[in-house]
Amino acid sequence: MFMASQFTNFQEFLQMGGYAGFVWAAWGIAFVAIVGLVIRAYQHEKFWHCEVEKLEAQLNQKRQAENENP
Amino acid sequence: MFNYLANPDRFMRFSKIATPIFAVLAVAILGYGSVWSLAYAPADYLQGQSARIMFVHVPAAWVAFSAYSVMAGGSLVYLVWRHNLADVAANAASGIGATFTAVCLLSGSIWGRPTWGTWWVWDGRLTSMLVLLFIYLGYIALRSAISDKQKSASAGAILCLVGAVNIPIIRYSVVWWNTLHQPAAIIRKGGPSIHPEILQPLLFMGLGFMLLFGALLLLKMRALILQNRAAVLAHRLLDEIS
Repeated sequence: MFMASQFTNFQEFLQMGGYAGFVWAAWGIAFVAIVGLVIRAYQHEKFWHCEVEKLEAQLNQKRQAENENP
Repeated sequence: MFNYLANPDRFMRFSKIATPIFAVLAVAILGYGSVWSLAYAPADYLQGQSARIMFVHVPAAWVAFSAYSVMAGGSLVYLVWRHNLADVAANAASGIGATFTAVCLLSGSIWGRPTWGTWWVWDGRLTSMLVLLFIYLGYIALRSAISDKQKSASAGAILCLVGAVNIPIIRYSVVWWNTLHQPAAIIRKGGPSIHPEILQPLLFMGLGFMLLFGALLLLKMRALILQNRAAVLAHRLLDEIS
């Protein structure tokens, strides 16, 4: 990517040639949706991972108790 | 490959390694692609800087189609072979597809205002994309309304396969009807009509979005498999107590 930036300064970049409201709103919606999806999917996976571990531990504990006191 | 991964344990082992790889690659490519698209790609000679909306709008549409393809494939495999992992894939893809369809519609509407002078018009492409969003939402609502897992999977699969008729309608809507939306500019006879300096960052962003879709799909599939496993374990625990 050996090319020059299309903007001469940061202010110009933010203004997006007068379309700032449209460009940044569209990119912002995409960014928020992606971050939301990632966080939700990660939390969902982590929650069920913990639940499975908890249930497996309970099941093992119960079986161990049954073996010790048949 | 599909036969190998059809086993949930093998899939869990594979996805544990593949998910972070997909996620890291997606973040790197989307980071680089965003800078390229926003600051270095040339502005459109007619639309000016507003055309930069294309770099999120078009990849979001690609993910919306890809998610539906995964759903339709998974639904077909589930109905024919009754394979639970295929249903898990279809179910996992639905939420991702619905979100990216909404992103595509919203970003398109925002782009339409400076380009066409309107936020919305009931033309073929926009309306068929809105129908796709309703199919996604209908699928999600149907799945959550039926508590029996087998019945929920079968009903969802049938709805998804019936809704698949909308995919060619979306694809050819710009050919069949005279619409405000521009015709196909990338996959078309005679090659892409977009200038390479704009096409390259667009394809790069598309790759980043697809990798992100892959990571999200794997992560959501893992969560659903673990949820199913937790239900089985809870049932076993209750059986042993009673």
